[in-house]
This record gives sequence, structure tokens and C-alpha cells, in this order.
Amino acid sequence: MKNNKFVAAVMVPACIYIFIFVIFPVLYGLGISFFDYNPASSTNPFLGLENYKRMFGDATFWLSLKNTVVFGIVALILNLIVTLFLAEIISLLPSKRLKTLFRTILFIPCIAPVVGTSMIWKHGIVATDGILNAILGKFGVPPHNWYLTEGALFLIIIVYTLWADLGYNVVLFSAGVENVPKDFEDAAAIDGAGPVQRFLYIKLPLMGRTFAFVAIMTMADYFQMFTQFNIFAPTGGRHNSAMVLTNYIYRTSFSNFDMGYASTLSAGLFVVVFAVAMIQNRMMRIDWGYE
Amino acid sequence: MKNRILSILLCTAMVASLAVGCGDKDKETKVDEGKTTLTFWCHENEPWIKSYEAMAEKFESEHPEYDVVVQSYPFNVYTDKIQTALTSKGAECPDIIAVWGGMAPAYIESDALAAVPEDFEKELREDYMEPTLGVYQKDGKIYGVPMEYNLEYGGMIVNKKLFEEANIEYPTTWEELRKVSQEVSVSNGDIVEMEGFEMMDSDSLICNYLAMILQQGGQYIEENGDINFATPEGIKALEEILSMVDNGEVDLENLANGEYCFNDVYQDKGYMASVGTWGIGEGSAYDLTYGEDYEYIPVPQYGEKMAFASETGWGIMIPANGENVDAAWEFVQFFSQPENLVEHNIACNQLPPRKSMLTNETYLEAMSDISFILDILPEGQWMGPYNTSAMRQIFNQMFLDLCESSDRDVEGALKDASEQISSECKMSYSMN
Repeated sequence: MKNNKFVAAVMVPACIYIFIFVIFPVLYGLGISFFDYNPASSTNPFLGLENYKRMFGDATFWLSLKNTVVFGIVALILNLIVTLFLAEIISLLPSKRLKTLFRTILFIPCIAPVVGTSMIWKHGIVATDGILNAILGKFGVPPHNWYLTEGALFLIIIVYTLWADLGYNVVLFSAGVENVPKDFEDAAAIDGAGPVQRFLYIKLPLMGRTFAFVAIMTMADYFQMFTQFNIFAPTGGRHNSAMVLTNYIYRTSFSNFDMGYASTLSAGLFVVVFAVAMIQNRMMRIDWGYE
Repeated sequence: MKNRILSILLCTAMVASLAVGCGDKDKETKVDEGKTTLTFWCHENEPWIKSYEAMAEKFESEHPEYDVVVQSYPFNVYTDKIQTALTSKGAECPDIIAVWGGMAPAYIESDALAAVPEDFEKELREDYMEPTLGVYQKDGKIYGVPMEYNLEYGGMIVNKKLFEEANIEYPTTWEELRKVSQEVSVSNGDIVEMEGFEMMDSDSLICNYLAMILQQGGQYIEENGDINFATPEGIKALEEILSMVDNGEVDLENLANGEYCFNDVYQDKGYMASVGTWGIGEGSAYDLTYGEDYEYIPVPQYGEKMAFASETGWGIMIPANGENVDAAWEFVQFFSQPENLVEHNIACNQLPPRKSMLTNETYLEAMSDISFILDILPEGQWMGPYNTSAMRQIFNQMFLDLCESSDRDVEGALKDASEQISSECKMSYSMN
């Protein structure tokens, strides 16, 4: 009992911090979604559910939501496939130094500022006289203005996101791969299972907890991606083809100065992310361990 | 026991770090040695910051009871900073804010700004040119003091080296401009590798377009204040601009990715780019020398009569919540005196907002290369009571759609854009 009281006491500062910087802003944001809110005004009329009605009738909201979900799912699937593959390849390397070297190389883009790297991609790779057009030119493809495209620009943003983000999940999956006891793999090998079968039917299921964690965290992260969309397509791209919810919320808030409606959109995003996380959590319920 | 002690220490550290973020130490910093500190916010632009700091020093030397601190922020977050700053009170709120005219309506709509004092307002109405005051007015009062006459039309950066190598003279008529542009441009598919005359960016396109309407004797603002681009003059002007893209003289890269055309000229990828006088200073970022590598010359007139539309440019605003509103107005009035404002306009390659400064000898001597722009300033009209940023976005998207369309309906597209701008972009408050 004494111990419980002590534990509760030392958790108080962290709880205060979480309340002030996480819970309170969420509740406050929810509150102002019911108002025509401009923080610089002394009057902010109460609108009731008008902002929510507006959201449901807003074509740009539905398009942004669709783009956000498509981006989240496609980028997540590609990320998981590529990072698992890389983690497995790295685990097969003969020396620990080599493994560390490759993990470091893959991790470097993760620590570089997203603003800086996305600007470099925008002006150095994706620009009309950039590396992408130069490479395509070698194959006889004429140069293209990628900022006038719809699907292609969206795909470029996905590729950039994968490049910037792979390293983190590779490190996590590497730890998961190496924690799988070798006995199971050896037994499967004796039974005649090939390397792909051993990975898919032995290693992957036994990495369930790691897989679930990575998938849920990455999905939640991808649903809230903003920086690269704001750099590559600040106005949402052609016909809002690259407009995601976060960018739409930002533009509504700071370009249109409609913070009440932006808070409503944020509430919508919260519901979506929460629902997706709950679904994923349920789908990936892992009960077994190694015993 | 050791764990408990460690837990207590960590707990104390967390509480202490929370407490550090609280408290109000601003009163200590605001009043230093009996001086009143005024904070002046601006966006990051090296020559402009230097000019503001020089002005601050000059003000302090004449008013030793004040200390003016200039604080700058990157432009892409500057709007956000101002938005949140205007909600602050007292010491947290800046005393003076340099604001781009396009952002101003959002702040003026709220009641967060202090109106210009009456005696100063009289001076503004008498001596400042109409387009400069434009958006800063609400319900008969003025809430911002212009620092410049913003003009994105009238001049163009030309790559002197390219012209000399090609042995071509600078164009002086519109027909010559189009001829040179077609001669020098080199296209490769959708991309133009060497651009001719560029005006395809978010600032230049609409400003040149509106000038082309007005110079034909047309008008795009109707009597009821609505926008109507679908007039014979508007259609003719847009078809002229579309032909530049169709002929491969320019591409749409800058319009699509939000960059400025003059960068192409500075990088030897273009011959001519329409831009305001502020673009001249950008050449130094490329280590180029004015007069050797590039020059600024007039854009040849499209129509018979010189005319153009200008949106309200950079100005200074005073938040009503600031701690030192009266002192801030003192600084602003000092800044706006012609003998001081002229130094700022010269340092920042800006055009003067005051009629009395059009014949200012100091300005004419220092800015002889752009004196031709001063001659046309009186021919400008205010762009209109619209959120010009939103207006641009709608117009530019319409233009991109038309460029990509194989079955163009120019009149229909202009009509739709006009209706959309009139319904979505008109300011919610009255000027008078």
C-alpha cells in the first residue's frame, strides 16, 4: 500500500504534463469546433453543430480524407514489406559490424529534418531539370512537370516518405528478427522448409508483437503526415489530388483563418485515426509467446 | 531505498522543468535601465531586417527613452506567429508588426488592431497613394500604415549576358517582346529549357493579366463590386497569355510549384521575367551583379493606355493588446516620415507609397534604374476589396486547367472563376 502511494505520487508530474500538453488541448480544440472561432476576435459566436454539418457537406474534406486513407494504407503496406525485407537481409549478413553499418545508413534519413530533405527532393530530384527527369531521359522519356500531375506527384510523395522513414522500422524489425529463437528456424530447416517459408511461417508469426507495434505506430504516424505534403503540394496539388487532412486543417486554420472549422476537421481526423488504430489493434491481437 | 531516492530526484526534476515554463519574467526584460522596450516583428529577409534595425537605431538615438528590438521569423510561419501573437496580451504581444497586405484582412477583421490616430490618419489620406491604403481601411478607419507601393507589374529582370551572347536588343514594344520570346525559347516536350518572357508565377500572372485588361480600356470590377473577367478585353488578354504557353515560350513549372520566375533568369534558364522591384535584390543571392549580369527594364505596354492594378503591400500594424501602443505609434510615425521612409525603400528596393516621395531626390539618385516605375505609379488602381491570395489561387488553378484542356472555353472559364472569386474572396468588412 505504501509502495502504491509512492508510485502514484511520483507519477503526478508526468500526469500533469500529459494533461496540460495533450489532454487539455484536445478538449479545448473540441470545444472551439462549436464556435466561429478567431482567436484575435473578442467575439466568437456559438455555432452549435454548424461546423460539423459543413464538414459533412465539404467535398474537399472527403477528398482529403480519401487521400489520407489511401496514403496511410499504401505507404504502410509498402513500408512494412520493404522494412521487413531489409531487416531480414541485414540479419543474414555475416558480421555484426556490417549489420550496424547498413542499419546506420538506412537510419540517416530518419534523423535528417523532413523540411530540409523534402526541399532537396522538390528542387533537386522532382524539379523539371532534376535527377528524376534526367534518369528518365536516359530511357528516352521526355522531361515532365511532375507538379502538374495528380497520381504521379502523390506517388512521389509516398516514395519520399518511405525513403525518409524506412530506417526506424528497419531497426525495430531487426531487433524483432534477432529475438526469434534460432531453434524454431533450425527445426523448420530440418523439416525441409526453405528460407522464404521459414520467414513467412516461423519468423513472422513469432514477431507478432513487434509487427503489431510497428504497424500501429506507423499507421498513426502516416495519418498525421504533414510536412512533405506542405512542401511538395502546399495548395494541395492539381485538383486537390495531394491534399491530405493535415494540410487541409493547416490551410483552413492559417490561410483562411477559420480556426473553428479547422478544429472541426481535426476532430474528424482524430475519429478516423482512433477508429483505424482500434481496428488494427483488434486484428493484430497476439497472445502467444515463444514458450 | 536507492530506487526511491532516484524516483524522488527524477520527480523533482520534472516538476522543476514544468515550473520553469511558467512565471512572468517579461516585466523584468521590458523595462531596462528606465527604457521602454518596443518589439518589432518582421519576416526573414536580410536587406529588410538590416533596414529595420537601422531605423530602430536611428529612432533610439533621437528617443533615448526607447529600446527597439527587431525580431524576425521565416515567412512561411510568419502568418501563424502573428495570428497567435494577436491573441496574447501585455508583454507577450509584440508592439509593432510588419505585415504583408495580403495577410492584413484577416487581422483587420478581428478587433485586435489599434486604429491609426486621427492626426496621422489625415496625413495618410492626403499623401499616400490609393492602392497603398487599400486593405488597411475598415469602416472609415485605417489600421495599417503602408511602407511601400507594392507593384508586381511594370518591370522585368533581364539576363544581360544571354541577351549579349544572342546579340539581341531588349524589346521595347509588346510585339518585339513576343518576337524575342519566341526566338530565344527552347522547349523539350512539356518543359521549356530556356524560357523567353516569363510571367507564369503566382504574383506575375494575375498582375500582368489585370494590367492587360485595363490597358485596353476595360475594367474587371463591376459597379456592384463583383469581379468579371469574361469581358472582351479579359478574354483577349487571357488568349494572349495562353498563346505564350502554347508556343512553348514558357512552361508552367513555377506556377505549379509555387516558385518565382525570376529565379530562372538568375540561373541562366530564362531571358526575361516580370517581377516587382523587390526581385532586383534577389540577384545577390546568386552572386550576380546588377548592370553586369542582369538589369531591370520596363515591361512593354500591352494596350494603348498605361494602367495596372496593385494590391496593398507591406505595412505596419499595431496590436491593440500591446503594452506600449502610444510609444509604438511614435515609432511608426517616425518610420513614415519621408526622410526616414526613403532610406527604407532604397534599402529594400521598394517603391515609395507617398505622393510627396515621387520626386524625392535622394530616392531618384539611389534608384535611378527603376525611376521609370515612378512615372507609372499614378496610373494604378487598387486591386479591389478581395482576399488577393485566395483570388490568385482560384485564377491560377483556372489558368492551369485551361492550359491542360484540349477543348478550351476561355469565356466560360473566366466566367466561372469570376463568380467563384466574387462569392468566396470578397472581404467581409466595408472600407468606408
